[in-house]
Amino acid sequence: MSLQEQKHLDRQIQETKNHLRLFNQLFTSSSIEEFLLFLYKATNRRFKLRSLVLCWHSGHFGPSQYVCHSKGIYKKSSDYNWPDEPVKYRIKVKDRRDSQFLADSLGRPVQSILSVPVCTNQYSIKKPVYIFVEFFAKDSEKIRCFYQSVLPLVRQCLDHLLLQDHLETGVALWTSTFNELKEPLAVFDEKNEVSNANKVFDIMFGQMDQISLNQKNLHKKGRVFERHSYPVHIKDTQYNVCHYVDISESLNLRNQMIQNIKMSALGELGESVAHQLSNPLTGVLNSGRLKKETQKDIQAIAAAVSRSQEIISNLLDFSRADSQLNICNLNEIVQKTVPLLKSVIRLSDFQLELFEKPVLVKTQSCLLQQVIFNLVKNACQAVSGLTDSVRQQVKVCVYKKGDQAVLCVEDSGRGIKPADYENVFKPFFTTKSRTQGTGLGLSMSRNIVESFKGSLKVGRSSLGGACFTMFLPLEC
Amino acid sequence: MRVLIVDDETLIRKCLCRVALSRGHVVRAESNGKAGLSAWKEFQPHLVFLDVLMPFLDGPSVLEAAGKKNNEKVIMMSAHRAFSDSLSIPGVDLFVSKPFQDLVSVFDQAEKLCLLPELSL
Repeated sequence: MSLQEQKHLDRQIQETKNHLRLFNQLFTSSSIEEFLLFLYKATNRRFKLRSLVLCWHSGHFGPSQYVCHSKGIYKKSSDYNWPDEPVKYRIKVKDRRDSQFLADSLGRPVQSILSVPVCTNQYSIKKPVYIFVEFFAKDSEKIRCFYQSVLPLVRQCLDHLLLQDHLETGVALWTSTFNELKEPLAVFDEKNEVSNANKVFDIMFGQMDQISLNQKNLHKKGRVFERHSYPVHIKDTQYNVCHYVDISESLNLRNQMIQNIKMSALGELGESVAHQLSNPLTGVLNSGRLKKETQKDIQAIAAAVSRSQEIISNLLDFSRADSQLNICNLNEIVQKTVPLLKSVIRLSDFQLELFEKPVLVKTQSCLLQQVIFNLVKNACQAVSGLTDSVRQQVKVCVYKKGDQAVLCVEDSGRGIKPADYENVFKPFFTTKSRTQGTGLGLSMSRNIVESFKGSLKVGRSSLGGACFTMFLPLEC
Repeated sequence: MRVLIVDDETLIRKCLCRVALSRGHVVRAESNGKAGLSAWKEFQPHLVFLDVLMPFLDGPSVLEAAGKKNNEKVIMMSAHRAFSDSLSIPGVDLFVSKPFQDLVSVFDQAEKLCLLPELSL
């Protein structure tokens, strides 16, 4: 090997070494700024450079330009779209807009520049990225060769950097979104353990054990949270994203509304109850005055008193706001409710058909009473306006159908148009006058029945009017 | 005097019966509207105590169906405020709202009603 050849080889080795060093530096740089500084220094070591500009179309990825020169690096934004053309070595001075753009970027007129399109495959940048190398005219060809040799390397490193940045930004964005949410949020893995949770979740439920976390509703600090789950599949693993919604307010509102409706029902009941109590009381009072009680009289008095007691306790049961689910006999609930309506059903031909055996359902009896009260009152109101030629009939039946307990309230009134079958359950829908109803009774009734996993439907009755049917799951 | 008492409350029925009997009247008592109506037609009372809310047939319907053929006096009894204007129902001579304190004075008033036409004669 000749000396010349040896020298050439050495130069090549040295060159490769330099490239490797540059590659190493670029690859390990942690920011665009660092990347550019390394590139600037590596180029400057070989040629006298004036500046280096990295530029991409704005709106994709932070500022659209990084300008790097001997005094450091600064960022800038520009809306100018560099024309999408193959590698150029010098700017066309006659193209005013291009030279204007470069002069804007560097703050001075530019003479010679090499524009290197560094096309990247990155997600955040769809359009080409350019590196502009500003040099002194004599080095033109050398610089072009240098950039041609390092271009694949620069491109890969930039890709890597952009990908990393993209990922970090993405993760940071999602993490902060996750944490900024005011509602607790957690991701459960396949074993149903919390794999990720936001700050609010940690504060609220961090101390809880796994079993209680798996419940549909979580109770904490006097508030109730309802869990909404969204299953997601990531690489064959199923995760469950759970979002907890504070439903305390709406629960309170619902309870208040039920209580209000109940109170208004109690108002309507007042008259009826007064009448029911007055009867036995008048008897008792006057028996006392006559002062000639026989044993039989005393028994009758005792019976009247216990009946009064029953009326009062029925009324109290009805007005109570308990929140306990109990197993109750639907027959009994109906039997307790119907007497309360004595004043309403007095005008009607009223039939009550109970099931011969207890019909057990899991419910809150005072709420169910409210539903029965509404349905029977509606039926009675439906027939009360009828002319004498039509029989004023109301029929209440309790029976079993499969695994369902059924309560059916029918009337001989005008009925409901099929088009209104769903409307009647909407809040504030009413066909009655203002004094007869608010339009909340049926929507509330359906809401109550559904809260006991039942359903409430309307149809046509064989008596000619409407037929409301309530289904509740039977308890064995 | 023949007195008919129609009320579904046992104690009231009994008390009224007792007062009427103690004053030497002939008494018949019924516990519902339907029975009351047939008794009215058959018994032809001079004085009728009629409750408003009763099973099968309410007081005003009984009165309407019976009609006051023999100028009998009708005393309507109810705890319902809505019926305090029962006096405006044709045929009601006296309305007594429940609970009434003194059955004897109610009965006194009723007897006076029966006497009035005779006095005016």
